[in-house]
Amino acid sequence: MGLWDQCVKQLKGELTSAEFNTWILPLQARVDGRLMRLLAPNRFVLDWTQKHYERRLLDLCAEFSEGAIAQIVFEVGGLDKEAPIIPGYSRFETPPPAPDLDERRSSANLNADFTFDTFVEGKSNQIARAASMQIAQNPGTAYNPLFVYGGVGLGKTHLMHALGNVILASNPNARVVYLHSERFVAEMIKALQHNRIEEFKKTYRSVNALLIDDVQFFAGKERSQEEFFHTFNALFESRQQIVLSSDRFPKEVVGLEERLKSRFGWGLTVSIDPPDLETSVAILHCKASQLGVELPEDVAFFVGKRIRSNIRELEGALRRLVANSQFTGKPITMEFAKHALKDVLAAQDKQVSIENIQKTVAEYFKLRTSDLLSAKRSRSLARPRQIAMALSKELTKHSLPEIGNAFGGRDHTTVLHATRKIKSLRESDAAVEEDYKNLLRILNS
Amino acid sequence: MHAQSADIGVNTTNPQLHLPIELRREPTLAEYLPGPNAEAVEAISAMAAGSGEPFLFLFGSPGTGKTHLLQAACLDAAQRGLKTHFIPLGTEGLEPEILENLERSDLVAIDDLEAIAGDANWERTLFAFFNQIRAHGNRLLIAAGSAPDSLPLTLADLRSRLQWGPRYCLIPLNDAECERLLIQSAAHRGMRLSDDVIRHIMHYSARDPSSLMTLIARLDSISLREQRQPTIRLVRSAMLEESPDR
Repeated sequence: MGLWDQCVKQLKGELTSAEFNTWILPLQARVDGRLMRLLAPNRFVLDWTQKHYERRLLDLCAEFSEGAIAQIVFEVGGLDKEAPIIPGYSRFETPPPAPDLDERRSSANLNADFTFDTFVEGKSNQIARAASMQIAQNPGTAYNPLFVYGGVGLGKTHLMHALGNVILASNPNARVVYLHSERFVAEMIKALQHNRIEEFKKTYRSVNALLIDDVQFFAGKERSQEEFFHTFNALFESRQQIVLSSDRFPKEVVGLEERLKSRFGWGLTVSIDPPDLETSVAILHCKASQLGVELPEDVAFFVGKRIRSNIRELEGALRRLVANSQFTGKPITMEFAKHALKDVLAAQDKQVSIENIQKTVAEYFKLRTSDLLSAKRSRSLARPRQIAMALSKELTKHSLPEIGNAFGGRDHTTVLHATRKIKSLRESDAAVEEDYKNLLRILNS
Repeated sequence: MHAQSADIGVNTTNPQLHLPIELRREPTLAEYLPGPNAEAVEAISAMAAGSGEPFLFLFGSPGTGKTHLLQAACLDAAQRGLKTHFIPLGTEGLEPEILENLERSDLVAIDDLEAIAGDANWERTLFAFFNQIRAHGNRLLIAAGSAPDSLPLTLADLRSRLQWGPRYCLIPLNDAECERLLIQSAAHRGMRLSDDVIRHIMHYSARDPSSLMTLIARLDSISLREQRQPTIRLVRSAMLEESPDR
């Protein structure tokens, strides 16, 4: 048994299993003369381990090595497969000639499974899909930038990947980078720390298509916004394609500089709304066939009807159903689905989500969900929005600030005002009372 | 730590040190009595073996064994040479920086998610981490007291990602299963429990796996010290012992 293994075995007996699992198990050791190098995956784990366990580790090392090891050095490292600091560049010094599509896709951070073929079209997303398709065929010329917005889990990311995959496949020289905005910020900070900011700038300003997901996470990060602003300009001027996504309309992203907001609206802005029932059912069939399973029509309708908030949750329920069927060896039938999904559905029944309320209210008043979240304040929008807020207060356990946040980042006092306003209107205005009661019934059914 | 031990020890002439080391047996997947949760255990075992779902969400009331399963999965994966991390978010002093680079591990198990719900910085970091580990093709196992829909999260983006995989609600064991657990875990420690002892425990102890396993560990400790098989008297002593830090 190696020296480190002996230490690990001893500590396993001394520490609680949680301490052992969290702090000792991830460490890797290398003996280097009279030195024991301990590699921790990051600075935080390093500091914590050093603070709490260094003395004991030193004693153990000295004991088991009979005095041969006199010092422990903690370092960050040990998780191999060092990711390239900047995507798009291979981690090899000289890139291998003519990388194949798989390699190009992986260095572009694109997922091969997200294609237009696997994107199920419906009324709620057809414009976004058509625009993405057109851009994929004529990048840099059709619409620039393309800005896709909509709620969580509705397929924005899928569309961006699909678009990127088409550009890569149709042009062997095209350089595409897909990146979540958080990652852009993290990469920039890393580049600054390692004195590689020039390389960072060069990389992002020389791509043929830059796809940035969830730009609302740039909010409040001035240095990143500044850098992104210049990247945007460089790409735009050289007619390279920019595609952005967000949870709301460009002008309504809070904490973003005006000059960025206005640029985001220069090209085409399209929304994706929650899927209607038929689209949900089609999505379920599509995902099921990807998992190699045939889903009976009535089961697909049952799941689609019960889970309305977003596509990720639909997929989660389907995966649970398939796992359950494989585990028990039983075919997926209606009875089976009701039983297998009972805890998923119970959670749904217990908790009406804000997203669900927004969707239901929007449908009821024949509006789009994105309108409810927008900054527009016309009477035709303001009243339904207030009703949705009041329903959120009544039917969910969310706090006022959480509700405000879910309605396009509004202040909690706005929610409070809405609940009071609706309460008094329900007493004085029969139409409001009827709408409210109808909505309550729909949401509770 | 063992305030009462002097009163219960018969053999006081040479009392051995009985620190709660016996409690610190490593959690294993085999030791978890699946009962009604067999499907969840199988899904977690598959993840620990480097196959199965990329992401799984586990929830259930306290004492249903979420922490046990997470830790067991990590240990199991580590024994196969996989890189794993167990992150109990309820640990005091933990900062979001602990997740840095961990997307490159084969399996990350995050426990007590509710501990950080509502903390904007943590939620954003977890959200970014979720995207990262998925992009790296590695596996993530998350446990919390309640389902993603009921957690007081403020970031809808995080919530929807937590809904992305299969979720399993761990169901508490019924009395018959609890009895089986008692017998099984006593047998692991070389003890045989009489029907009277089992009945006594089932009447007077909290009947969740975590409490029962702790009780068995204490009983084992006392039984070793007194050099005799467990009796109702020893069970009473074990129940009286101050709860050691686990």
